[in-house]
Amino acid sequence: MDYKKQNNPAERPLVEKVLRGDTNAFKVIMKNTEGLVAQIIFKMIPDSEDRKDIAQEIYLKAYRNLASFKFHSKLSTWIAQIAYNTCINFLEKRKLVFFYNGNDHNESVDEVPGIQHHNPDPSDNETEKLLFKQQLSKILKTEIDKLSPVYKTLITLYHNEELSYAEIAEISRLPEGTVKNYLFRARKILRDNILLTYKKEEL
Amino acid sequence: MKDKHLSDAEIQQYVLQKKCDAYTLEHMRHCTNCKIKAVQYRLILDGIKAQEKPVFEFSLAELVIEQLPEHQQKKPNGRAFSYYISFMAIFFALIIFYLFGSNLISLFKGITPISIGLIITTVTGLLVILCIDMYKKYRMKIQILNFD
Repeated sequence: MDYKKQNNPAERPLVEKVLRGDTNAFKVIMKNTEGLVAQIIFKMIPDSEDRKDIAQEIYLKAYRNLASFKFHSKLSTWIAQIAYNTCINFLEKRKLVFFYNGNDHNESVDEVPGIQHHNPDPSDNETEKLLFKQQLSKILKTEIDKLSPVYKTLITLYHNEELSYAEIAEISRLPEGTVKNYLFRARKILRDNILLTYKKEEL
Repeated sequence: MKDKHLSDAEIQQYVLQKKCDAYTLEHMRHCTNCKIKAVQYRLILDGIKAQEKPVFEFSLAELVIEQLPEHQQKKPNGRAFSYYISFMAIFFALIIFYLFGSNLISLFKGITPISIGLIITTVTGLLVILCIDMYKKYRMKIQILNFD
């Protein structure tokens, strides 16, 4: 996707065109950044109607404040920052808890058989492997959804969008160390919860 | 080799192929328990990477474009605005001094220089603290509103 390009030189003329009133140029910016914005909104906002309103609000904000964009970062990072802040503000206004995770338990799951039965050995049957992957993907999606909005956003930005720690820190305005720490915790919660799900299914 | 298993943080580092020390690499070669944990983390990370990317079920561009104002307006120049405010403040101060200057001077005539010094220091100190506080609050609000 376009937003992954480093220091995209096409951004400056595009922004200047928008500032001169070219709405088509803004459409291009939207097209280039919509994927990243969607990732953030879908991970943070549960209701689809709210998502629609927030998505519009983000781009209207970006348009109104484009003149203040100083090219210190990528345009996509700047817009993602607006998206993240807008979502956080929305959650705060609605008094939705965005850090609590109900499944953040300390129970040891090391002895849970779970995934270890599914050894991804290349000698395994291909169909079995495919089925396992599909099953895991489904469970994973459910478990990611159970994470707190901030955790699932950070984990998606890092592992799915493949953004760097620095970019995520800029988007979320969290120190890089905090981003790393949250990512570690999110991965651990995810693993523990998946193992518990497997355990429950086996009982 | 120590009996202790690797921590989750160390295993995650290993799976993410970040810097690992020799002990971690050696331990991973022999410890089945940690190997299993690493495989589990690897599967989870691959699974997240393979997750379908969300797409809006409506045309966002169309919705936004029809709400855009006719022409993008440039933000007022912040520096010019602060010059204007400073100029106005100096202008009004001069007018006040011109009108009530003699009264103000006679007001301070009876006070000892040490008292004047104390008053000026206290007022300046308070003003500096207030200005710093106002600036901090302003920066915070600007950050929240994404205006920078």
